[in-house]
Amino acid sequence: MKRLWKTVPPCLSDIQGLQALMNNTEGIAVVDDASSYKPLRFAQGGVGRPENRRGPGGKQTGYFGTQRMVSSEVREADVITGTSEKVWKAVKTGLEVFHPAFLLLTTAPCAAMIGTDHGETLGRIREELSVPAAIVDLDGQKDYLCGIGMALEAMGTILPEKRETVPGTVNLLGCHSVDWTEDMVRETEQWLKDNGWKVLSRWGGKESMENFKNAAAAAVNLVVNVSGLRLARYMEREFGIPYVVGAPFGKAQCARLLEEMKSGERAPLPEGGEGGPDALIIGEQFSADAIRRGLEARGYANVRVCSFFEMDKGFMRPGDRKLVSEDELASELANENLRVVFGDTDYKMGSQVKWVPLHNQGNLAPASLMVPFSMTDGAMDRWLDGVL
Amino acid sequence: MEFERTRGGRESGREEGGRRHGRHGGGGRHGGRGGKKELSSLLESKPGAMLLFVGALNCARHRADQMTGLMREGRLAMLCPTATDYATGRYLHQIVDAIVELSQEQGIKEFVVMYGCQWAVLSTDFDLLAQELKDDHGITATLDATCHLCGNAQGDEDDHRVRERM
Repeated sequence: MKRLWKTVPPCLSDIQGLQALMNNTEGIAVVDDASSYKPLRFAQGGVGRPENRRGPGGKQTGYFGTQRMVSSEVREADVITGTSEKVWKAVKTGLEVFHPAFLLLTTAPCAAMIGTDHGETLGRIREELSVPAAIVDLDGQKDYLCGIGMALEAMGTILPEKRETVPGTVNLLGCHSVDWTEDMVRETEQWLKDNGWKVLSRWGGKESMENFKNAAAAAVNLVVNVSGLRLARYMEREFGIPYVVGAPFGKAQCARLLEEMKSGERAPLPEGGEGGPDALIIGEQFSADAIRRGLEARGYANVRVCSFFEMDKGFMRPGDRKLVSEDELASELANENLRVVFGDTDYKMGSQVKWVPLHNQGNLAPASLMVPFSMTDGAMDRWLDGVL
Repeated sequence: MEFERTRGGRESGREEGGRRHGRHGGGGRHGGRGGKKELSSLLESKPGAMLLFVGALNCARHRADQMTGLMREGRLAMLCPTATDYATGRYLHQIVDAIVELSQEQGIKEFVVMYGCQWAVLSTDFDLLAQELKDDHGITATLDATCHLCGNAQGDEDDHRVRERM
């Protein structure tokens, strides 16, 4: 049945996505919630108590997420009396502890259910405090990509300042620390630099307030992850910045992206293949699509992209599917034409099809953690040739 | 007003006939400083039982490793109703359907139900659900009433406000 999970582990929630994002900024988030938030993942032997080191046995490596999340710590009685005073106290605590450059307000499931009025708190922040603030409309029930996407959009409404366009400049949108590493961001920047582009700001990666402010000067936005799409659409509406979509993985894909960035126009999506898929990629939509294009160049006729996480319909090909139950995953894996599946090994469900593991930091408790690795430009082609 | 001792050892007052989201289901408290127990302890005296967590994805961050470990052993499942499911009351049917499906698939006749804060906000009548499961399907269900919103599962997280004061 839908929404019943028996074998597939839970992923990071939308609020945890926001938490991972905050780590890379000078801002904080205040969440109306009954409990607080500990760091999402510590490196082995790193900071904190052993129980804070996520993953079986606490032996996982990788790090993202901090305590730049302040909880209002609501209780049963607040359901009746309202939570705004506790949210306000949390805002003040956050300002005292972190001295943030900006602040995002959001709601956890219980607060979302009782209809917490963050509008009142936002008005008070604007009247009494000198910190840019915005509301991120989350409820703790969606996946991390949705949370990061909505938070990036909210940041886009308060951080960039209107600037004259600087030709040859680009913003990277969606390069967050769950699906990307700082090395990947650096390699992408180098690839862009080698092709005459200068990166103005990195939305999701480590970034300064100064660069966020200057982001509106970019000639084009490159959306490398589905979580950057809302922000790209907002910046197109607000600042007139066109956007190009795709993870810069694989030589052919990178050439296409450079061409689109130069022209400022997106090429139409290729047609879907006929019949059952011969390859299945389960993961973040844009990374999976880049891998699909690599497989198609290697003779695969019908490659399908599926995801348990947020997908954008505008960039789905026929047959692509947003999975909402284990039954749907099982039916995809049962397809007789399948020759290979790419995805988190926790999705296997006993499938005997050839399986190529993909990074899985969005998995809240993976059996085996796999951090993202560089696929920029030709790196994906070399990886694909190795695993196929 | 009647007082009952919670899992965390604190006393909570409840108006008779007022808010009530079930009885405590045995085992020890699994949140809080000191006396912290594994989730598996909820199944200690119930070798053939299974845990069902009903709540939002965000609530799964508490004890995610333990929950997933039990999931891999086939001893825990998660049901994540949507906001609409809660608002319309459909989640009550989903809980029964999920338990019946798990029972039929795995031959399990005893369940321990854990919940997130939405359950508490809605004052979910667990006794009614348990009665339906018993009468219609011969399934025994008990409730583990540990809840952050009710304040009996606190202390597990790193609270920077406490840290700052220390």
